[in-house]
Amino acid sequence: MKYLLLLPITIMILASCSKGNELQKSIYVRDSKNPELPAYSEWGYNTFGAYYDRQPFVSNDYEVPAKLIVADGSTSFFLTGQIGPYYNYCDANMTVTFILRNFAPNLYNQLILLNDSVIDLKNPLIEVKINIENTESEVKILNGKLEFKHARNLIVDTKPVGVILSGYFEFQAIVDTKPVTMSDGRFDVGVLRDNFYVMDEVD
Amino acid sequence: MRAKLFFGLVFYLFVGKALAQELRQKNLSFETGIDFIFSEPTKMDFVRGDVPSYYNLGEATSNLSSLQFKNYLGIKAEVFTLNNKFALTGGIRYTHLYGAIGKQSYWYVTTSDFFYVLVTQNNSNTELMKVKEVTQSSHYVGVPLELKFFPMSPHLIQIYFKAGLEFNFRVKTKTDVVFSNDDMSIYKNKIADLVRNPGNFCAVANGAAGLRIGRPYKINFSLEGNLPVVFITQETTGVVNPLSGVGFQCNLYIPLKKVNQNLKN
Repeated sequence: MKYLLLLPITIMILASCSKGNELQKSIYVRDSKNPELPAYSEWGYNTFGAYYDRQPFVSNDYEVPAKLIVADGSTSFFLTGQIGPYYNYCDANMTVTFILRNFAPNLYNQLILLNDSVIDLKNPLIEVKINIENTESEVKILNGKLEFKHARNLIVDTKPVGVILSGYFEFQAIVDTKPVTMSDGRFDVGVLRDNFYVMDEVD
Repeated sequence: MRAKLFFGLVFYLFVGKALAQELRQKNLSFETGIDFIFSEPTKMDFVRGDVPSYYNLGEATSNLSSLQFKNYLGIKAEVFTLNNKFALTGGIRYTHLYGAIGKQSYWYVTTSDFFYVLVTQNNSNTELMKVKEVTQSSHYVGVPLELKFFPMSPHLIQIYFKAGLEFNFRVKTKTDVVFSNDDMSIYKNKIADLVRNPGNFCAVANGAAGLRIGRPYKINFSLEGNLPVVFITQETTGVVNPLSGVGFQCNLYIPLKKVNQNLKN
C-alpha cells in the first residue's frame, strides 16, 4: 500500500522532463515592512529592490537581475529590473550600475574579497549610472553607500559553483538636473559562470 | 426538567426496551485501516524554494508538495447497550504515520525535481545540497475510543455512525533523505538532524459511517468510511503538517459470549 501511494509522487517526478538551473531563478519573498520590495536575504535568491524616490525599483523574472563585467581594470555591477511593483510587467525597465575602479577579479570566486565591505559612493573611484528605458542619465552622487554585507562561496553538493553577494545600497544624487533618492536598497544575488564576464583588454 | 430529560435519555440509551434477562452483546474486534491526510510541508527556513515573483506567496517552501497517510491495526473490545442501539469500543492500536515532501514539479515542468537544502552557512561559505525527497515514518502506540450508533434494529446488514477519538504516543521516528546525487547520501544524517520530529503525543478525532454485516452474537464484519479525520494536537507536525483527512477502516468482530438460543429468539 505504501508503494502504491508513492506512485503519484513518482509520476510527478518523472513528469519533470526539463531541468533548468534553479540557482539562476529568482525567489521573491516579500518584505513584510516594505511589501513592494523583496525581503533581505542571503540565500542567493536573485532579487533586489529599492525605492527610487517613491517608486519601487525591483528585480523581475525576465531580466537577469545582476551581472558583473570586468573590463579595463574595473568591475561593473549591474542591477537590472523595473520601476514599479514587481507584479506589473508593463513598467519601465531600469538598470543601476555601480562601477568599482581598481577592482578587477579574474574569476568569480575572487568576489569574496568584497565580503563585509562598505563602499562610499562619493569616492572618485566609484561611478554610478542609471538607465531607464534605454536612456542613460547623468548621475552626480551627493552621498550614499554600497555595502557588501556578505560575499560567500556558493557550494552545491560539495562543489563550488559561484558566489552569493548580499547587501544594501542607498544614495542621493542629481539625475539629469533632478534630485533623486534611492533608499532601502537591498540585494541578494548569485554570481555564477553565466552572469560573470571578463572582457579582454583592448590594445 | 433538564435533569429529568437527561436521565430519561441515559435510561433509553443503556436500558431501553430491553428485557432484564437479555444478554449484552460483547465482541472482540480486530481492526485495520488507512487514512489519507491532506497536509502541507512544514515551513522550513533551511529549504531554498522557487517562488516566482508573480505568485506573491512569500514563502520559500511554497513550491514543495507533501504526502501523508497513516495506517494502523489494533484490537478492541466492543460493548453494546441493551437495546443494541449504541456500542462503545476501546482497545489498543499501533499506528504508522508516514509523511514526505518533494518538489512540486508536476505543474511546473520547467523546474527540476529537486530542491536545495542549506546545510551550513558561515562567514565564507553557503553550502547547499540537492534533495529530491525527505520522508518521515513515525510509529505510535495508542488507545482508540469509539462510540457507535445503530439507527435501525439488528439486521444482517446494518448501517451505523461512529465518533472516534484516539490518543497516540510516539515510540520511534525515522527520517530518510533521497538525494539528487547518490554520492551525497553520506550526509543523510546531517539533513535528517535539521528536520523536525513530531511531538511525543498525538490526538486524532474522526467521524465515520459504516456497514456491518452479520447477525448479532455471531462473527461480524464491518467496513466504514472515515470523514473527517482531524488532528487535534499541533505537535503531530514533523516534516509535514497534517490538516485533515479521509480514510476507511475494516473490522472483524468475534462474540465474547455465546447467548442462549431462547434469548436470541
